[in-house]
Amino acid sequence: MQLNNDEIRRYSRHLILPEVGLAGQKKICSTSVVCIGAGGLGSPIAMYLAAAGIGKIGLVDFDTVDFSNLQRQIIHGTPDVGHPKTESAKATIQRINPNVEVVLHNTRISSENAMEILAPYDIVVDGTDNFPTRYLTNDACVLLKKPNVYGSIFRFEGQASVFAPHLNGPCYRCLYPEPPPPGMVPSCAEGGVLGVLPGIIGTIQATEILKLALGLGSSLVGRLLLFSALDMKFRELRLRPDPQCPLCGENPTVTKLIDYEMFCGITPPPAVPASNPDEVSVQEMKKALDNPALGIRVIDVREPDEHQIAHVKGVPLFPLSTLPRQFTELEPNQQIYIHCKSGVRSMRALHFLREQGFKYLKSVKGGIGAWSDEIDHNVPKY
Amino acid sequence: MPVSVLVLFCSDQAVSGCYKSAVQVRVHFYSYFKDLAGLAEVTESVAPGSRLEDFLQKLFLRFPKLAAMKKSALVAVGIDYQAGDYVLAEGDEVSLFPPVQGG
Repeated sequence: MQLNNDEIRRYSRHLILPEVGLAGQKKICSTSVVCIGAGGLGSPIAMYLAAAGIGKIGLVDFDTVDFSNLQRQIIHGTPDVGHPKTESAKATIQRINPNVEVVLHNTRISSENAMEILAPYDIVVDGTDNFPTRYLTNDACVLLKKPNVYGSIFRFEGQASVFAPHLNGPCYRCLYPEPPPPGMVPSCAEGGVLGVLPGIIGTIQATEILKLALGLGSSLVGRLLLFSALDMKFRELRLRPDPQCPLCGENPTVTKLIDYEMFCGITPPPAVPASNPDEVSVQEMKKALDNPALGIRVIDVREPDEHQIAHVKGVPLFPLSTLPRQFTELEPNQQIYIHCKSGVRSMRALHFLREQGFKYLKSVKGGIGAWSDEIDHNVPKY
Repeated sequence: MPVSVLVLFCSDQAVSGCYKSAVQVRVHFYSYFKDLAGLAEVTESVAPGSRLEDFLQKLFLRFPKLAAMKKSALVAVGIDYQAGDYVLAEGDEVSLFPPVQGG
């Protein structure tokens, strides 16, 4: 391949690096990368790879841009809200560098399509936001013998590595052989994340991709880089392949892609949601609040920080974290409706209170989010 | 140093001899493991020759909220990832890292 005059000007700061030069830039321009997830990590990854001149960038995402993404997903802007993430990301990439070929996979990656999606690319980068897709990406990469440039983030901390058993490194399963029990690990949507954090971890992933493309330096193969924004500290762990690894070990038992939702203990929601006798709707919650004569107590089990962001007027706070101390203030024979953000913690509170001898409990389905959607739009969603 | 911990493991031997031979290990909890354990780090005394695996079993008994994550935790000694058969030595720093999924 040849670089034209415009490209020579565009990539000049690479070309004058002796370690890159014309030969290196040509390597970058002929490398293809597929990015799973066009979100927090995918944003800086795709933008820097585009700027660097990576020849072909594949983007896999099925989601649309939401207002709550904009605090960190800098490839998308306010006018993109409601549009598919892949299309919004493509527009940004092409504004940065029209020489890049962008391939959109506007679909949910699954065991059925993963091999086909990933096979045409040189390097895979994991910017997903859930365990099933992380195991799926890992397994597909090991089976296809492609480097998997891994990053993940939570609150103020992040980690990055390059998984590549074919380059004598470990895979994701060597580190984390079993997924955590479902519900044990909060997602960013539940636990929050500092907006700049994916910028740091994603940029590290982009750096590793460029090094792999160039064949330069020492990669993160066999090392896990851990970052804490609060301490502003990087730590590093030396990893090694696990000979017992079911995927890349000596006697592999995983030889093709499996059902990752099941592996991670996630049961798919029933096609028609069955009505749960322990739940009431937000309409019923409103009826209870509007008619004190009904004698129904409504309580909020979210944490005080969340109450400050949004609350339903007149509903007292009994945070789930302090409920074991506070529940004695409630009357075990009274009818109580419990709400939280989305209906998960209120169900946990219900089970806790039931164990304490409370008899007439209901969890408000959909929590304050459903209240905002269906009863009062002035209550902000977060 | 939590003397009660020493006594637990010393219960079947002379306490004086035990003090000489006990191995001190510092444990660090990372990310949301801090929340599950209720603290960021703790010093433990273990019998000489203790394997990492057995030490972790005891640790999970002490911090029951962590126990659900025992098969999903990344465990390092110093800066090296270690398997369960690693034998703990005086001054070892054991770190427990949880898997995180966000992106």
